[in-house]
Amino acid sequence: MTTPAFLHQATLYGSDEEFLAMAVPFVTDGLAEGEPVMVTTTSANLDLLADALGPLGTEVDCAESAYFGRRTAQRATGFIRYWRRKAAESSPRVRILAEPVWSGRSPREVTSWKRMESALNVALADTGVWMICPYDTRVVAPGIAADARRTHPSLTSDGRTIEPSPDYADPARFIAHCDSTPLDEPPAGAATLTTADLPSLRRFVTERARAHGLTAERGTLLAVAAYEAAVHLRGQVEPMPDAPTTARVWDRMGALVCDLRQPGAHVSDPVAGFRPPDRAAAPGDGLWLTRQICDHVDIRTEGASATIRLQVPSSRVEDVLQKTLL
Amino acid sequence: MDLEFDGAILRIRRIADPPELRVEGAIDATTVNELSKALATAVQCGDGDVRVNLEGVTFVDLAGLRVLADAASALPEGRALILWRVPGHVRHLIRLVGWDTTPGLRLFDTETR
Repeated sequence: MTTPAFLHQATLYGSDEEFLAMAVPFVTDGLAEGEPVMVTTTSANLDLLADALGPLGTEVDCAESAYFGRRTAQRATGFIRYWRRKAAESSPRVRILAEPVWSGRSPREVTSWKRMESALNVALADTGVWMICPYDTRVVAPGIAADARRTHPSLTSDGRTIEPSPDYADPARFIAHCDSTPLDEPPAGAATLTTADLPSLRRFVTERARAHGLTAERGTLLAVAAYEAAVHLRGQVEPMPDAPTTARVWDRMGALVCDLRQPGAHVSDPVAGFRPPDRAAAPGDGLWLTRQICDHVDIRTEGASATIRLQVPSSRVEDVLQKTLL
Repeated sequence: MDLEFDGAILRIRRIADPPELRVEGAIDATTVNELSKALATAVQCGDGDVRVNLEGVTFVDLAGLRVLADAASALPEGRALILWRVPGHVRHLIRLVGWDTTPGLRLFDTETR
């Protein structure tokens, strides 16, 4: 038996009834086929589905979207690991109903989640996941719903049929469009180091992180993220492999930002680092660590250089979360 | 006490009693092969568990985590690679990548004896 290919569909629904008309058949068909089913959506939709499924609902793996992957890289990794685990245990075909949270997100976060939707077509291409991503047209902005048609190869309204999406865009082109806005210039006062020596670069990042109040552990993790990003950039340089990398570190409300700029580099694979590493080394897998450690990873190739910009929570964010939330 | 490797950014010492490898400094692309060799030697020199003290590790990249997991996987049934005094950042990273559950690998914060 061959492993079924990744199937990635969007549903645009405008009522609870339309959501259930898609979700119930998708889930019940899967369970009837003996396929693992995961649902990660809003608490409102989880409740609707629980009521509709009754006792059958206890066979569903589920989580509120807000708790299944705070950032896109964690969510994509969660999907792949779910499939790997279930494929090893029981079934090469798994079903995932995955509704991201869109409300209240910054434009940058919205772009990041759209980018992930597109990247999943590549990152999950060799999995047996059948994924339906519901978009609530009562809530999401028209631009988000329109892009759902560009990031999903097909659409469905009943959780069974496959209607090709005429607007579907090649992931590389869609992500390039997402990334067409230049990054803001680093502030003039940003601490800067230009070096081809990676141990010096990571010591610089660690020291700057400590100076901005991050704990030793958080500072080291940012240095790991920066190091793997720099290795990735330096691996993309054709003409000048020894050209130094410029690292810049600065802070803003809520965040510490670290830029790595590499002359001569061109980052060609927009989904590098979305797949969790295997035990066998593969190109781009160091960047997976970077994406897991950081809240934001922005990659740009502009002119004759490429930049990877990392952002982690500031010490004040960590402080508030760790000392007052638990 | 034998010095297994003493480079500018990584130092690996073999402690005789109780036997362990003590790793200090940074494990990265330039030093990971030395760690790999030292682990292989430690595996060959005994027939029990292999203990590695990571307290002095200041930095580890993905390649370094992979070498630790590979050394554990290569051990025969009944032997384990015991990582102890594992710094928080190393523990965080090895859990993130999911290799903390590698058969034959055990992690401890502090004393294990």
